[in-house]
Amino acid sequence: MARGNHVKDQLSDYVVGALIIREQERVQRHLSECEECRAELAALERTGEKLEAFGLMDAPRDVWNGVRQRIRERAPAQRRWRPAWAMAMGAAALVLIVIGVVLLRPVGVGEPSLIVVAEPDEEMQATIEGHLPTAWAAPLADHASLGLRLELLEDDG
Amino acid sequence: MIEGNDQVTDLVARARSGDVAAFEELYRGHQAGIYTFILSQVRQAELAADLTQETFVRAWESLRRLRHTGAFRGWLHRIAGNLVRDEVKSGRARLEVTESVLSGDDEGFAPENSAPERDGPEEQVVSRETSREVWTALAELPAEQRAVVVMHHMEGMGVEEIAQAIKVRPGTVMSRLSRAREKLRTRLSRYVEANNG
Amino acid sequence: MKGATVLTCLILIFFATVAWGDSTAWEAVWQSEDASSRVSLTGQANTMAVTDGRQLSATAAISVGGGKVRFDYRARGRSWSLIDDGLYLMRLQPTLKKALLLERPRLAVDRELAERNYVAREVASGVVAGRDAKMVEIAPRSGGPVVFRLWLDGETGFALKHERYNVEGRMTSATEYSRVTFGVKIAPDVFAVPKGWVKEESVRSDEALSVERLSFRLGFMVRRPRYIPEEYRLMGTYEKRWGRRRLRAAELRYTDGLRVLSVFQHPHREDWSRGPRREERGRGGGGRGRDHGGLGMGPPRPGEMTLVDRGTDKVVRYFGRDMAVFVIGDMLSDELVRIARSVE
Repeated sequence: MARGNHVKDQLSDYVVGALIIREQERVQRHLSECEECRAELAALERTGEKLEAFGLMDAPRDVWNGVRQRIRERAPAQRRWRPAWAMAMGAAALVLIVIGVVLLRPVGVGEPSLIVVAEPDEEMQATIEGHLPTAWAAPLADHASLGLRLELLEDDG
Repeated sequence: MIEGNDQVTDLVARARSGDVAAFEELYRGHQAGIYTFILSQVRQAELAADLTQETFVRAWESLRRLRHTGAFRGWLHRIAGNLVRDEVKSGRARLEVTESVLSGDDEGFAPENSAPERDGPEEQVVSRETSREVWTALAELPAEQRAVVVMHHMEGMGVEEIAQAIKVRPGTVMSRLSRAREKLRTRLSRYVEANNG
Repeated sequence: MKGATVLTCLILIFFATVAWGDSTAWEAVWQSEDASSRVSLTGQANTMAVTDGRQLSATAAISVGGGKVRFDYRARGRSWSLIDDGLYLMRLQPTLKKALLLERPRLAVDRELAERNYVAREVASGVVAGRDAKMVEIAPRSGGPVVFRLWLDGETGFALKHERYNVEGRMTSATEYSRVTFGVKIAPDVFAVPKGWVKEESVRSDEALSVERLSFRLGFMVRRPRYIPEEYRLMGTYEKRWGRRRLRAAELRYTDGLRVLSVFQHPHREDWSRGPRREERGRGGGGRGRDHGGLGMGPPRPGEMTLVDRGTDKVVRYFGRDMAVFVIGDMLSDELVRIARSVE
């Protein structure tokens, strides 16, 4: 090949279809005679294939729950719905009050009794653990003592 | 899976008049694309999930403003892109590659989501590895190149559609795709060169 | 006439003195708060904490410098170390060459609020760790037992002895230096995790969000308690993710200037608490199958209210109709219960 004009620089444009017809044809003519550039084109094409094979990732399942929750709170045609919605809420409230009265009466005063526990269960323990950094940052915190407390949480954890 | 634009047009029309079930269909058909798009930009799974949620909520709220229902997908991307830009402006996300990404602390990449099921176990292992490489390589691209790569190669959007979505000329989209392709080819040379099969 | 004038003057002088005394005492208090970022010291202290009905004590070698603190504890044959470098609390585990990191929030101290709700009085002077110190007591202005007793070093203002009392007047934590040397130069690596160790971050950052933004992030409407004691003000709302199941909850944090009240809530409907997000499955999340609503203890009964008294504060957990509520604060249990129920 007399000129040895490799077209490597244009191959990426070529492969995405960005070249005008005249340039495309020039590249094609060169490719038919140049193995090196053909190999390069193949590599570029394979890159595209790898990208395409990557596929998509699904959003976590609870994302839709959040969307649904929020769009229900802001229905598109709000004005038209409000009277019906308000009526429904009113009716629901009435039903709840009735149910509430019926359910709570057997318990006596209607107030749940307080269960006092000495040892927090796993869930409460988790809450307490998460709270410690807040206690650390509170004004006039006794850090030495909190550090002692932190150690005990690590023990139980 | 949403096939063809007519179905989308129909769903959008129904969703506009308050049909949540129709909107859910639209969500199911577009969530993976939007999520992957956002995740490829902000690279924090939690944040990407939040922004995906926000994208669809905003889409629901302004659905009536969408004039061409055929442009629904591109329009979603515009909403998503604006949200990402807001996060970057507020400092909660950065678009350019950070050290933690390169050192492998990158979040959100879940190989089991993206490896196609049709492969045998060995192929799956190999393709998971490649997928990880691709994901990391994407991080090294400038944000605007990354965006078009995800939209074109992964979501299957055409140059015109992308151009409309991000409001640039088709020529710009192609030049970004071209430069990205070059960079990625070098970055992924181990996987794309002939002697490596 | 003259008698009345004299009496008035005396009364005015009395109040002026008290007020002035009050303000200089507060000055000393705030100075001690700042002291740890100003001083450098090494010392030895005895510390104690009351928790879950038990009293624990330890001795600690303490280093303070450049705003960072390191505690090397010793208790009943065990020893461990803790570093606060201003950004993280780091618990060192030498056998594993691992450090557990808790991101340390920075809470803005509302001094005006503290001074409004509490009164500070210098009541005595004494000697602590061989140094002259003045003792300041802080008590609620509305009445009630003393909350803090601080012995402040005459020279640096640093708290050499610290006692904390809970709302019932029981001492729940105390630290006293037995030895201290100020002005020492401390090598920076004292406050750093040794090279080559693994760092494991266990609690994520505490970013304050608006209620709306938090509601959006969590996917449920965050509710404010309808009842909060009047001395308390809302500091901020936060997303909290903690516990083995990484449950996402909203925290509303209140302060009365000195004490912190936290109200946590998260829904306990089954469809919401599916367990850890996709990317966290690998981090030992497990146990989703048996849990109802991810709470790890079988179906909760609506109305169930549980209290744990940790001494320094109490934790109340309440299962409302659809929300699980936790309230943590140093107040009487009735108050906490009332707050919890008012979230409905």
